[in-house]
Amino acid sequence: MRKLALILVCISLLTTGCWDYQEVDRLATVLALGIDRIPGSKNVLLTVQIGKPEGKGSSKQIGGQGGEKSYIIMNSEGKSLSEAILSIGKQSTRRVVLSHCKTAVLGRDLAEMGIGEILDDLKRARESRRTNWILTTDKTAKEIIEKDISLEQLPGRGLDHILQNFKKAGRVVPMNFNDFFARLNGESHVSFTPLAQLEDIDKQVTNQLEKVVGRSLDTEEKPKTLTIGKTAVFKNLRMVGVLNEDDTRAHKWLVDSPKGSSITLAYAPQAQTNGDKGDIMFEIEDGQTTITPHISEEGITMNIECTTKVLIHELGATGVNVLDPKVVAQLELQTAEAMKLQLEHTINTAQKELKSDCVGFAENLHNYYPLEWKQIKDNWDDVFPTVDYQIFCKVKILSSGTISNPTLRSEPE
Amino acid sequence: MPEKGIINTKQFVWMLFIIITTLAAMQIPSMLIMQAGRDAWLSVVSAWFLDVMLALVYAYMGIRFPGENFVQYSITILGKYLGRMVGILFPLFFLLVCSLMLQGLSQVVNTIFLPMTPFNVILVSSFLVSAFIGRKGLEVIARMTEVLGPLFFFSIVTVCCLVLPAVHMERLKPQLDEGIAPFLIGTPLMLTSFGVCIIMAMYIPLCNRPENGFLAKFSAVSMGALVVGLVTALSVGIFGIEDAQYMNSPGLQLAKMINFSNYLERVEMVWLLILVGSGIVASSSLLWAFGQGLAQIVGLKTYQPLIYPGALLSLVFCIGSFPSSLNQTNFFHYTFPIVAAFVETGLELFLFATALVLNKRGAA
Repeated sequence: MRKLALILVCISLLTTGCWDYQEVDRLATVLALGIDRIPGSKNVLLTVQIGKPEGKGSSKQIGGQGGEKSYIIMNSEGKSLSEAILSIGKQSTRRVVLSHCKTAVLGRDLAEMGIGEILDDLKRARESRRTNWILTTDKTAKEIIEKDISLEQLPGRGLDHILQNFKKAGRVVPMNFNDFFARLNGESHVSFTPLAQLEDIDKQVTNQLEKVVGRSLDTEEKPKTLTIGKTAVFKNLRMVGVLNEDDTRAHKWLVDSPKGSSITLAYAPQAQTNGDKGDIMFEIEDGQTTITPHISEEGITMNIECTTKVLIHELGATGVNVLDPKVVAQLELQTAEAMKLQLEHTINTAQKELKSDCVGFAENLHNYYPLEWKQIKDNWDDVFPTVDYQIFCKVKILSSGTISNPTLRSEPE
Repeated sequence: MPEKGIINTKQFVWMLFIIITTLAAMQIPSMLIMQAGRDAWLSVVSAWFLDVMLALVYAYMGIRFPGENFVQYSITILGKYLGRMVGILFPLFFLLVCSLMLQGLSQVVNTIFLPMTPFNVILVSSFLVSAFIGRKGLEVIARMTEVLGPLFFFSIVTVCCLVLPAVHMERLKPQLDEGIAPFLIGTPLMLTSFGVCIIMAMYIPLCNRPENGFLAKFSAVSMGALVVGLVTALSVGIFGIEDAQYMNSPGLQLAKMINFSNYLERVEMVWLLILVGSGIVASSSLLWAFGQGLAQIVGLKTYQPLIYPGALLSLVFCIGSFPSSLNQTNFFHYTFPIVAAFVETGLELFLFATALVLNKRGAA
């Protein structure tokens, strides 16, 4: 009896996984996926970027410029995301594995028409991870997924690296599935994702240079570049608008932290201080923003306090003596004022243009005034644009980098 | 007594802790969040307090009836027939908990880790291993838990620490948003899960120092409450109540959230280790308690012949009653708390009151 039991236990322990083994070289590993909405009954278009292990290693393949690419693109259609994923299997000789997919891109049409149907699959699927990144594009997700990224053999990994870098320092708040879902489930039902765009940066730069030099430049035409600098705002599962780059930066200060971001000040010296007009760029070393709501008879007021510690990154204004405490104090005041103006602009955009609380007022109000919130929450969409706010910015200059004052002086007029 | 083995207090603590850990690793946190929302962690604290109070009753009964477990003192208090009728409810309850644990465990393993393996293969394997261990006796289980218990405790605390960067404190606010009702409703729900530790009454007579029964339960439930409380609070702080309440295993999802700059991620295998290890050991402990209790009811000299039939009965109950995970979840959410409250609290308090009224005491 004991021996029989032992044999049974051994068999049950050792053979449970035998018949579903999968060799790595028989798998098609998806690195990034894009979801678009298309007309017709099968209205979900899925584009996946699959890594090609055998294509790896050749320097010619970097960025896909010449030679065989290190990845392939596959498309499939379906009535739902799950069906589209299953349909990929029709074209692939290998089992499609999504567990290593790090980024999902939503096409503009899909985002504007509503993403409710696909969210459930992203939450429910076994292979889906809540730490994966989510992006939206102002074009189609297919274009983004198919786009090569310079210096990267696998563009899917490139997208991951860009967003990882944003986590450490950047102007955009990178968004993973978990935070995207949690914000959509939040009090305001508003969430956001970084916006991926294809820009003809080379052409823009060339045109500007041509204007300067007054002749056409002899340069090669280059493909469009993938950039991420704006923010797509979602309300009730639909994309309602886009924050421009400046608003995106201030949005990060509001909902995340100013740390890692930067601010450029158009410096204007006052009578008692020296220096010429010019731009000064500060790198934000540390900082935090707190939003404290206040309810009175006049209505709701949000007190926004933004405290930052900055480093002088570039002194574009010549003759500025940063060793003079008066100059430093003036720089700090002017920077705080610039930050305040930018924050005001962003909040105004959210209130008046997008009419979506992407700045987190609702959550703060709920946290501070839970009883009052219950009366307000049903009408929050109407109340939010009327919410008053006061911004207090405080900037402390910590360092001027490796030198103090600019060494070059402007020519006397 | 059918069981001849003796355990020490340390082993006693880890055995109870492992049972709580299994529940924490499965559905309890999400059930609790569904009932108590952001205040779920408060329900854990209040349930911990109430469970410690209940442990006083069990410890007192263990001392009042030395060398007897609740199956035996049911017979001492209520007589030969009624005592057996009441006493048999305890082993049957342990068999039910064993079914639920192994069904839940197999479901998570099947859904997340071995999706192409038939569910029944995982379930039957789990039962076979549990029964094999259970039949070896309490000492074997106790020695296993002495090794696995600290390992699980350390692993869970480490997982919780690693996931801290993903926590958003504002998702835990405001507390008591809906008043105290949600957390008060969550308290008995949590209590019924902690209450599975009534199995302590089966261990007390076999402990080398029975007077340490309360201390053991207090230590185990305190560590267990810390684990469940951490998993619950972190689940709310990371996923928000809307998502966390519908997760089949929030602890597993927490482990999946660990990501340190792409070099430390996919550590959910640690959670699988905890889930499978603690689930199997806890189930073997429950099967042992079933065999031991039933052997005492029917007057057998040994409990061992009852373990495999018990496991088979439990397996049939699993397959027959819960054809899908939805049935098990539904039962666990809505029916089990009532059954558990009746057995864990109702029956024991009834026996306690009857013993006081009838002035019954143990023989030793």
